[in-house]
Amino acid sequence: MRFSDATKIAVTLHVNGRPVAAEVEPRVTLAAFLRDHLDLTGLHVGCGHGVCGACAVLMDGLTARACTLLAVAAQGARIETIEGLSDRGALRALQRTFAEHGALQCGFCTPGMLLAAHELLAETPAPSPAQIREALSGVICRCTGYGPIVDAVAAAASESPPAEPRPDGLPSADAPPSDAPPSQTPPDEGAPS
Amino acid sequence: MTPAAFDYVRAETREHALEILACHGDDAALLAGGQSLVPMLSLRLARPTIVIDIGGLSGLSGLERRPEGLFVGALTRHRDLARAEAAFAQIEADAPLLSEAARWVAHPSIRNRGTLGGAIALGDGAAEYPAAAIALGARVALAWRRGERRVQADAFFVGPMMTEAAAHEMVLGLEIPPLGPLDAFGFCEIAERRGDYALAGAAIVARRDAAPRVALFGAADAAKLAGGASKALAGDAPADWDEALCAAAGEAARADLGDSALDPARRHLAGVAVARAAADLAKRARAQARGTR
Repeated sequence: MRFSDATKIAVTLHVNGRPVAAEVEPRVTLAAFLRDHLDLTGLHVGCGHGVCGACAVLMDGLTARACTLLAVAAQGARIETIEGLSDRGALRALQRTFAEHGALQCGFCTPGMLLAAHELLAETPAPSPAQIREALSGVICRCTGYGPIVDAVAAAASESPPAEPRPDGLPSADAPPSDAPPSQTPPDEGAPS
Repeated sequence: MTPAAFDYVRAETREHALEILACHGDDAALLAGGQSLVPMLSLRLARPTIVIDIGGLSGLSGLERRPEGLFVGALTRHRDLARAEAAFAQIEADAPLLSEAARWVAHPSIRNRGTLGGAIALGDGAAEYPAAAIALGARVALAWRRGERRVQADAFFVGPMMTEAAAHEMVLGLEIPPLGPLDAFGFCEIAERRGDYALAGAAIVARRDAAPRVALFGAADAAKLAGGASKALAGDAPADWDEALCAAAGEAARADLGDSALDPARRHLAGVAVARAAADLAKRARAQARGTR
């Protein structure tokens, strides 16, 4: 039996610190939901089936491939996209070293690379080049040949830790909405949950 | 591309999930971590009528010590299994081979969401857990609306992404005879890059009181027990396995594969993987003997 007019399902979740409520068809991936419904086009859909890594987001504090998740299955989740992480300053050092080392050209894989690097440095603050390569092995780049990206991550790792972000993970200009649960400790403050 | 349309239900309990599964059988798909299913939906390789989300079910995740052995729940994520040393120590039952296998599954962001049960249920010939389960002599626990059953891992993976599970059954987890302090394991995966699908791999378990078990993955369309390689390693204590013996086991593995190897290159690499896994095991056994695990 096929559903030509599929029933929509109600879903509520938190995206970049704000509660979101929507009705979506079950077949809408989280990638499509974030990009098309919420205009969060920072994550990129390179392959659409979980191989290229460009669609990375944080889900409950850990990296996840948004094209491998259904929006309806993200019910109750706390999602952070590249926009959210960037806005709260969590990627400041990496963004600077990426620019300094030429670690991006077209920028398509860059959100995936930044999130993978961010998670690596949260768990392994002083990674070896081999560990960096291994951590980034799930994100495919067509432009840089990877060398500059590895250098940029190593450079960011060798710097002293950035200033502590706000404990609730929100950018300083915003107060949390009254029904928002407190965010967990952001990943770059220690071991992820 | 966009998946074909399907209906979706969040299972509230295990019984609820099994009830819906019983009604729809082959037309239903179970969603846990989604790391295999959702890509298949996007490629339209899977076109279920209904997707049953079991990701929120309680009681199906984590490690438990039971009279039958160590039980690892189907919803246990690869990430947690990879870091499970403390958890295993707490229940005083160990299967470090599973943690090692978990560390080789795909990439970090996939390990964060993907589950052991999903990998077992899919039965990809290149997957790590099926071979680890076979080497451990584990049993796959299955449930359906009217009951449960257990299937030995070495009889469970029967073909390319084909398992003994029926359409109305759900994987509950793995039941494993725990490894004792004098037992050893070895593991080797060969792939072009870390995280790529395995071209060939081997998982070996040598228990104090049983013959060694060598299981292969990657080189054929399903994980399998390599009888000849296992026999080649029997007799000598693992700490005494030398390079020649490991190489002989590798050669025996190539013979075990025969024409079931996907291609000659993989058959060759399977032998390399077995030799390296055997050397890995011998090294661990020697370290255990010295008391320096």
